[in-house]
Amino acid sequence: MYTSETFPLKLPFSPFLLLTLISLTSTLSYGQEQIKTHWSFITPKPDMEEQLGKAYKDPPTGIFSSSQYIVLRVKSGDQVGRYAVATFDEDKASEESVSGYNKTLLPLIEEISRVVTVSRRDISTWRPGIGTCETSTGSYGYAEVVFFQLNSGGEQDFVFVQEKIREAAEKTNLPVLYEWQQVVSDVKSNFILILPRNQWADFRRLEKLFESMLIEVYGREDASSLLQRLNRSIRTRNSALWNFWAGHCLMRVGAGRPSDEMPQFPWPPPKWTSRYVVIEGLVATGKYEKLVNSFDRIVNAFHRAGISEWSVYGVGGNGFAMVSRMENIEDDGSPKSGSERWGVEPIHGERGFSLAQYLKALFSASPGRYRVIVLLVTDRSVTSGAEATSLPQWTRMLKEGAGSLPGKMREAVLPASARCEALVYEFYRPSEDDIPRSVESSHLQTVDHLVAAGLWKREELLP
Amino acid sequence: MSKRVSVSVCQRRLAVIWFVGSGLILLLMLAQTLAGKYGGQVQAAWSWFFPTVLPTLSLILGAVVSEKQGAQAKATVDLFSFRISCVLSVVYVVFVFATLALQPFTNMTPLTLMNVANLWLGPIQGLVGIALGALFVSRQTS
Repeated sequence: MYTSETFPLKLPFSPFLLLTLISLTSTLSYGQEQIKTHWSFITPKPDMEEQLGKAYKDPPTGIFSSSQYIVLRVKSGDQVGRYAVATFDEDKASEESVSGYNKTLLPLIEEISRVVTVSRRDISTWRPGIGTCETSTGSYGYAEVVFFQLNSGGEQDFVFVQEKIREAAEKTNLPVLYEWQQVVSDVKSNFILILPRNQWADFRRLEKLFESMLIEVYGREDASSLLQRLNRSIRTRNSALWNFWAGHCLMRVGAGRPSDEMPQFPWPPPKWTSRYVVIEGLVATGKYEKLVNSFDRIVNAFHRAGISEWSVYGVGGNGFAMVSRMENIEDDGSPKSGSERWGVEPIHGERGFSLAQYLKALFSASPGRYRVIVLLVTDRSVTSGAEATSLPQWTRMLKEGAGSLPGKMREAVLPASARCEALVYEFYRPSEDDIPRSVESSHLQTVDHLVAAGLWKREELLP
Repeated sequence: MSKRVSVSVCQRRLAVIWFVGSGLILLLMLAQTLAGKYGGQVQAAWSWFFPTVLPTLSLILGAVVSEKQGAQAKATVDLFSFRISCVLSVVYVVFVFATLALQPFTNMTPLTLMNVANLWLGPIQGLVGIALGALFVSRQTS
């Protein structure tokens, strides 16, 4: 949204506050107005980075058990090599907030002080009225963080324009998440903008530019006036990319971490029989849609295929996997008829007696071919795990997953680079007495499976 | 005095029952194996078949061979024991055959049915052994 054309970033960079933003994004309940983040910026002493990582990964028992903190790395700009440690306080009273800081961050910093140099500490507060406030729903590995230092008396204009920007973003349904923080421990008016991203590839030019969005809503003249007012209020601005230091943070919920509400799909996905990347538009459109839209398309496809039972798993915070119930299929991939479709054991004696049927049953085996379809909607790289699965595992998966997307995930925006990948897990048993084994390489292609299952037509999958 | 029957006659008849019956079962098993009925469980299926028929079959075969070598043409056995042995042998062989032939009518897999059938085949096989033992004990040479 905030492109370099809109906000030229030429002023001196004082980036520490930015870290706070990312942290806040992750942890906080956005229903509260005064959520504070306490943060410290540190630089590892020479050759001490490994010890720093160890200190965060294995914190001393008892010190941080009731606290949450995240660690972020500066990945671009002149502050590369620094880290930010942030803790969160949802208490409204500042006294309690300070107390929480003393209880949490101070011992943490003290613990690691032998391997780092602490360069700055600060406190910032989340500003829900001028951001989209949804960044907590995603698991974002990176964030573009823009730091604004305002001119004296410029805060009123700045906030006014930001409110207008937010209104325009809502009206145009701009599919960009962003969040504002205001530094409260500084006499100057400093604001921080956070634009979360899932991966480096997401840092690309957005389809709908900020300025054109304003023009669309307010007209060219008013948009220009708003931008002038905004620029007048700003003294300096600068930006950097920050990386969430996953694995070294202690959080109950948060950015870079999956939502607690959703069971997570095993990652990497278990070894599949075949895979197909569903063409754009059929499930994922690449247009910053909400997750629920992709979810609904898959549900419709399942209904078309007569699949009424499935499980939903989260893939991070802004992706999901839908696991269909295991079905009994013919060699051509079409599902068996009636109740035979949903059982592993063959059903005897339903069709009456005939000599031909009897002789066939007497001399030939009753092989079984089974299929589980997993539809993954994610922007992650999907690579196969090493371990093959078994039918009981998928039966368990069906029971342990959720039936639908939780509220926050439904509203989360699917990254433009996200797509839907269909994974087919095929199993075969030569006879009734054999255990169904995972098929390494099927004689059917994934598209054949999807078409035979009735999810989509061949021409839809292969235009 | 009980009626008696020639040993060679009764051995021939028992041998016919056992060899013909076992032969049919063997052929059925072979056909099923070649047709893929047992999938990856061929060894398990044949591991059930051999202990089911081979012990008694070996006993009959051994008796027949030793009788030929002895050439005691006038030896006799008790007719009632012979009849009991024949009936039990026929029942046993029919039950074994039925285990295979009737599996399509059940909801059990072939191997499951084989294991279940051992519940009644075992006792019957024991009775057949006892009857054959009694038969040979009743042997008299005139």
